[in-house]
Amino acid sequence: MTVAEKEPEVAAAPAATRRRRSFRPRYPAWLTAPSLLYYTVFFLGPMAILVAFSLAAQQGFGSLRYGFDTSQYGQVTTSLYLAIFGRTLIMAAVGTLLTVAVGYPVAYWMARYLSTYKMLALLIVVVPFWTSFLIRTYALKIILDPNGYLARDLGISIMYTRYAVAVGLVYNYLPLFILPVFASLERMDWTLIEAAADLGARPFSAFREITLRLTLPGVVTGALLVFIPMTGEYIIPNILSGGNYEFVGNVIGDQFNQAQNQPFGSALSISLMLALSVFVIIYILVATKEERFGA
Amino acid sequence: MRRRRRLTAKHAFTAWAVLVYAFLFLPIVVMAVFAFNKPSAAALAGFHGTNACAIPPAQIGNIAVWNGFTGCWFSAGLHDPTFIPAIIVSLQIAAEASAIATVLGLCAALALARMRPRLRAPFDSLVYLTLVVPEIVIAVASLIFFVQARKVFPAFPGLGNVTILIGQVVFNASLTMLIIRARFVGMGDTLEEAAYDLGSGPLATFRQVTLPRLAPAIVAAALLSFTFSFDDYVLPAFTNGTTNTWPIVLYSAVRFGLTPAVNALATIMLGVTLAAVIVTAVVLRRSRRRVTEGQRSTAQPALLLP
Amino acid sequence: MNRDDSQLNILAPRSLRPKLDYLHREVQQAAGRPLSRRQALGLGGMALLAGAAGCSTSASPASSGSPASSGAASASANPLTGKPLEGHLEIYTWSEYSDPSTFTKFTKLPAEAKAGLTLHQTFYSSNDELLAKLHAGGTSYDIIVPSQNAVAELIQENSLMALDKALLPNLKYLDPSFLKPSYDPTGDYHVIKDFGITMFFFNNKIVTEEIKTMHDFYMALPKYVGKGRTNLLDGAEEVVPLALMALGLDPNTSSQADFSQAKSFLLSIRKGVTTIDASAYIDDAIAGKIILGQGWNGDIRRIVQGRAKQGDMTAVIPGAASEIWADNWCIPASAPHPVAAHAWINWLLTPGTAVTEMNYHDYKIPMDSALSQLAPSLRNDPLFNVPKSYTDNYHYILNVSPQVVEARTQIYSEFKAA
Repeated sequence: MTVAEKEPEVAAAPAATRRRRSFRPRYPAWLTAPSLLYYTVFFLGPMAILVAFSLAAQQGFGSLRYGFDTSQYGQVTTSLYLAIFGRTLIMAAVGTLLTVAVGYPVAYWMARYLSTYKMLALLIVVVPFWTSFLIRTYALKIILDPNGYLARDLGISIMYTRYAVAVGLVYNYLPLFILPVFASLERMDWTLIEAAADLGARPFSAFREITLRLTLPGVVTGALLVFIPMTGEYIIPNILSGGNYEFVGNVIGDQFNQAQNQPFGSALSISLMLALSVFVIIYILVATKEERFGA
Repeated sequence: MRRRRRLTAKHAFTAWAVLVYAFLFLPIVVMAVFAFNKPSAAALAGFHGTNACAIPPAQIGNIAVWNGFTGCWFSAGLHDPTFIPAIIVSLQIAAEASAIATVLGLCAALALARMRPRLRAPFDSLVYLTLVVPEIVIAVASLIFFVQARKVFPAFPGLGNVTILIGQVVFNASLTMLIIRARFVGMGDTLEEAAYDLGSGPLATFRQVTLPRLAPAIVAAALLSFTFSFDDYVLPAFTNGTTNTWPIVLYSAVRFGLTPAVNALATIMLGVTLAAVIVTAVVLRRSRRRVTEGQRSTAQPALLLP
Repeated sequence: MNRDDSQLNILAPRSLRPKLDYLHREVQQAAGRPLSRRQALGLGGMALLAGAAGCSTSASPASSGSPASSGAASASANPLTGKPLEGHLEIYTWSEYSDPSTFTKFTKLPAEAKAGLTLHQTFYSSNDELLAKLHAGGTSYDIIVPSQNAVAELIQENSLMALDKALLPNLKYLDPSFLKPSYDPTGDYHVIKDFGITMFFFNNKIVTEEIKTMHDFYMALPKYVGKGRTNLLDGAEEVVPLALMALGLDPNTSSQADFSQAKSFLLSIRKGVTTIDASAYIDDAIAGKIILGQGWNGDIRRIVQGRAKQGDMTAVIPGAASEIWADNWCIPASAPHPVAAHAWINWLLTPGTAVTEMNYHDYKIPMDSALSQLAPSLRNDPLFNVPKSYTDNYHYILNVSPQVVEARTQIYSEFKAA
């Protein structure tokens, strides 16, 4: 394809018509080799162990009989665990939507309205997360305390409910969303918006047609980067819900930690991963289409 | 008319951003305030020592309420034999993980962004797989992998800093790749084409054209990796061997008593980073004039390109 | 995968186990790196075994507490005597669970100072983490601090080193009734660090009835949850066995029928439980936020003292059955510095050290000579020194088998999710 199109191009080069060439400066494929090698050894290796676990049977404490025993997967589909799966996915979805709603305007603001202090604003978003996650969550506990200022005087008493968990999740995942979205929004040529306004477009249509479309890959990346780890989260729900909300992450954690039942824990994880992969596949399909909209 | 609307939009966005920053920093402020909290009066009554902060954690009383001001926790925290080494280890590992992950992610993003979708798909799937695994799961699986690897290859590092690093880079490299690629993909290749046309080689083009334009994404990716790595509990808890990282020390202390000493240390770290941020702001303001002038002269060509 | 190595499938008299431990260690040292038992014993251990079995008398090495035992038997029964003190000690423990001075004073002891002993601590936050890491192997810890349920499990998996009593002369200070508990019947694999019980407390201004037993406690939960926050201790190994005991059943049961009973009981009181948390409840209770909750005696003691001014906390040591638990010093089978590890345990058994420790973490160590040196306010406090009339009826909760642990975990998941 490249060759055939290049020849008429060469012939037409002196001519004024500037045809869009299919030539794109590609970077050599071997640049992916380091990552690929790394993943193969240090990710697929442990994953192979995981799969082996899920097909094994527990024999004594911590010792397994390896084989091809799929009974663990059967157990995963009991109503108890399916209900927990469902609840987790919903909670993560709500958490993600909230994070997007809270974080997108901030990323937009940083990309559009700041120039000199752009990087600084980025840094300040991240600085709270260089204290420890445990301390932050306990500080959140103090703020949300049922006898605290917020609860008593403002009537916002949400401790130990799913709202507290939502607050905790949004709080801890905000930078994970803001940073990729900022990186993507940052390349926007804002003069396009001005041009659209000059041509009579209303601000929201300009936003929808231009900004959103051009930066959708970044937003979806950010949303996925938030949604996926949220489903595996168990420490935040534990601390802020006082053990009232049981997520898939808690169950998996319990199986690995308390029950030392690696086969069942692994089967649960792989099932969760398969369920999440559906979302990922959707993203890959959506993103490859969008990526042709270069600016 | 239009100018007023744009100003209002800008004000609205700025107001929202300020609110969000306040939300992000509120728990931090609470944490910093409680770093100055004295042990409860009842606890002090039962303690027979000169330094209030030397009170054993088991006897500290209620420190979720304000009991009075003291600055002794800072000294207590700095002198604790386990805290500072753990913080240093965490910082070290986070910096290394971030650096390695950013390099790996950058290389992969550059190649993948313009690769044919069919070739790209398997790599993408692998990357997303790393994100989709719950952390406890990869932690346990990695632990076993490292132990077995060392049995087979005695040269393989034992459990410790290196194994923590290895495990974290798996997730971080995916993170950085996605962030940089999202930026790179929409960047457009016209400038690079122009550079090639003008005779610039691939490496020079990368250095002078691509890299500066990717810089925000690279910085964002590195920052995020560092943050994630520094704050990571689950993976290091399993792959650490005899290394203590800061989250590990904290988590273990929760059971028998977190004292305000940890608040004090976190506040010190916060202070240091904020100081660095302020210095950066001042430096930026100084160089702003120079940069603006430079921007003005290069702004025109950018508008002309399709 | 070599994961079956921890299961040693050699048929031999139980009394030969210490000898097999010894062989394992000797071969390990010869190889210069940690070996699994199977590898060590396979590598010519059999040859040595044949020789050793032929030479030694049938004296059971496990009971060689008396230093005056005969030479030949001692040589094979006390394999560590005569070995030099190593230069390092790796302790894997909970953070803030020992007085810092205990560590510094240990390194300054004459023998340790001469050997230039360095000490390093790594921390964990739950027994489960400890168990997971010991299972995976590759660890180089010399001292670990498992709770009694983990000790039982580790013994079953042969992950613990049999203690060389000749190196622990200070064992004589310990109350003998704590030497061979149900979680370590031979008494060879642990030395108790401290112990406590699980009990409960309530706000006497809000809860106005008499609550005497765990069963009363559970029954009271739904009645008072509307008036404030109630709290249960978390963890499958707490929630389910405590419920079993409240029902008068054996907490270490493996009977499905018992589990079903416990499950329905727990689900019936689920609405009465506001939170299930064992880490942050102390501060919350001292702040007056919990009106009815379970807790461990040392923590509840802190709570009662913390609210002495308000005087509204009543602590109840349960009549009938409840849990007695113990944290223990153990040496992993793969410990690289066993002599130093023994020296450490021996140091902790010194009455002076025990006094310092008790004053620091507020849990009882069963050592009369140390107890007598404590301040009377501490020693006579039933929340610290729980009377035997109660503890005689209490049980240790054990990790009996994977099936039992799994059953408990499933009920726990269901309970939390309800």
